[in-house]
Amino acid sequence: MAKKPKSVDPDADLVKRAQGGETRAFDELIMKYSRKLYGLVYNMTSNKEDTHDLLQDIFAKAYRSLGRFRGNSMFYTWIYSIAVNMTLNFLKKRKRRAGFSFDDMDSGIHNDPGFIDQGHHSNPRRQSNINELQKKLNEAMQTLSEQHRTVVTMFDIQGMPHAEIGQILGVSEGTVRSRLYYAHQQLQGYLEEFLSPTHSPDQ
Amino acid sequence: MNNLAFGNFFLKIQPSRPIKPMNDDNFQSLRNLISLKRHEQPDDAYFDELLEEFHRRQQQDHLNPSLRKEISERVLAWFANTNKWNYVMGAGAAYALAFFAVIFFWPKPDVTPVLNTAPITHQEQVEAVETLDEKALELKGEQEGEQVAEPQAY
Repeated sequence: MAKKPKSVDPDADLVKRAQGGETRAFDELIMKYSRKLYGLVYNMTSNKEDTHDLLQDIFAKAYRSLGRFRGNSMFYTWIYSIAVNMTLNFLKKRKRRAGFSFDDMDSGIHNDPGFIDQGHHSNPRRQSNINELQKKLNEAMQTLSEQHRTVVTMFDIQGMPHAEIGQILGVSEGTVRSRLYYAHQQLQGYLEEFLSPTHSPDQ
Repeated sequence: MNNLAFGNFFLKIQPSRPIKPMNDDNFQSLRNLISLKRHEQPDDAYFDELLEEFHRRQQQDHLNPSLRKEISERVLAWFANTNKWNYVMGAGAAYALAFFAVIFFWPKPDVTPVLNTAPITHQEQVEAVETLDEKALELKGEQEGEQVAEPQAY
């Protein structure tokens, strides 16, 4: 059986230049993945300030460790693993905070095709319902354990395939699937009112 | 074992909580709902500022490097490697360090002779006096014997 050819890392050139000391190359890598990493960390912590501090720590650690990156995996997988591990360590240490600081966040939920209705977009009641949904989603995610929240973030929110999630977390694809199944069961109970076919943000 | 069977297995081992079985429609609705969270992102200006702050912190770290932080991160990274030989080597290094520490820093016993300065007991005093008396009698006896041994004039 022929061996599966190793996929080429699209960031190989940038990584090589960054390892050579070119800071602009590392800046490009940061800018390329900062949104994805922000989404990962924020959906696991549900806290804007913690997300900001963690991202700085993640970038700093990636910069210090870049010399030890041998290219055995994609750079994206590598930095993603760093982000997941640091966030999980942070969550273990953090005491539960009251409330979630998403008031200043620019939410694009109302622009999502799955959420757009044909009615009036400038409906205050609709906006209020969107805020309530946002809050409820954050609360629902926080009811999950860190392990389950991680797989839900990576699969459902960021759309990563099971195999890639397993590679990053160091578990089998079957473990990823089973964790997702259990997490979905938990979330279904908590978000039941929003899953009702009669529920609409304009009610 | 398919996903449904595996899910039922989890339900059995978890504390009793009424969880409705999920059908396909519910599953897809739930996924669509959760996926809305991908829109919770700040604007581009935030990420520009994020990069600038990263540069500032790097300059600060360059001026005030934390050796302890660097060492602890390197040690953790070394142990984070799932290669079992790392643990074997780490344990061996720890044992070797402990061995040499014991050899060089364990307190050696003091071999200086110590005189017995403890006070003697009453029984010991009596025995000492009896011994002296015996010696005194022997000496007296020797002296009297010498006197007797002198030749007497007739």
